[in-house]
Amino acid sequence: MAVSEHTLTEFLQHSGRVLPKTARGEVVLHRREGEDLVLMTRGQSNAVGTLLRVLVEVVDGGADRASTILPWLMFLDEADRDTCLRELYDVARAAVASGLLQNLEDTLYQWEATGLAAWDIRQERERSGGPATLAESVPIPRPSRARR
Amino acid sequence: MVRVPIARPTLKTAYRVLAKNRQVAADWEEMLATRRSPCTVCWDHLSSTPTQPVGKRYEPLKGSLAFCEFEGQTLRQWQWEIDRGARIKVAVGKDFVVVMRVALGHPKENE
Repeated sequence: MAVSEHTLTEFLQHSGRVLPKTARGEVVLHRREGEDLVLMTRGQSNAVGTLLRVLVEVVDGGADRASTILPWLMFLDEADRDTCLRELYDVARAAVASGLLQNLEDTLYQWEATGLAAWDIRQERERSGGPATLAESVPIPRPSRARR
Repeated sequence: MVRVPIARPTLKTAYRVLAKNRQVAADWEEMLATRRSPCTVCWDHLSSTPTQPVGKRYEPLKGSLAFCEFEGQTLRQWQWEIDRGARIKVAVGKDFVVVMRVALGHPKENE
């Protein structure tokens, strides 16, 4: 299912009306002669490709193999890794049914950011031997222009 | 006649931007030395609309990092990617944003 459907002629004449709809997911363009076309953003296309590759790895070798495609999974603890794979599965299933591919891209990115944040925590622990001790918070002023 | 410099007016912002502690404030200053312009863009967003994502640059974290404790409050955590090698993790309160960590570097495994 697509988030929106139009004729190719409508798209060619009013692309400004059609293109913003790709921000949510796939848009189908019907052609009188020839197969329908599907429009999506590169990020959405990459997200679908990534999830397909994850699926192939998981079917071949189990859930542990997902990290060959999503290396940041290794930075998450076991519980988060399970939550992540379950959520990706749910979001992918909903995206396929609804055409809302942007949710898939967003979810992938948010989990990658979480993986990087987990890596940062581990790096800090290795450097300092433990989390930084809590002290009073300090205001951060807006950066001023660089002095010359 | 004495000329008196007029300092740039400070904007009144919706959210105060804080560092979790002096170490984080020092890390922020260190990052400013090489990334002043993207840090200013980040600061402006945090001080005005910290609960709005910015493309692939600023998103809420998930799983066990979705929330953190700060001075007795449970706050939602977000991460801003300054560039591929620098990130800041923040916690968003009602009228303040706390920078919890300034991180430099990028895992080789994630290239």
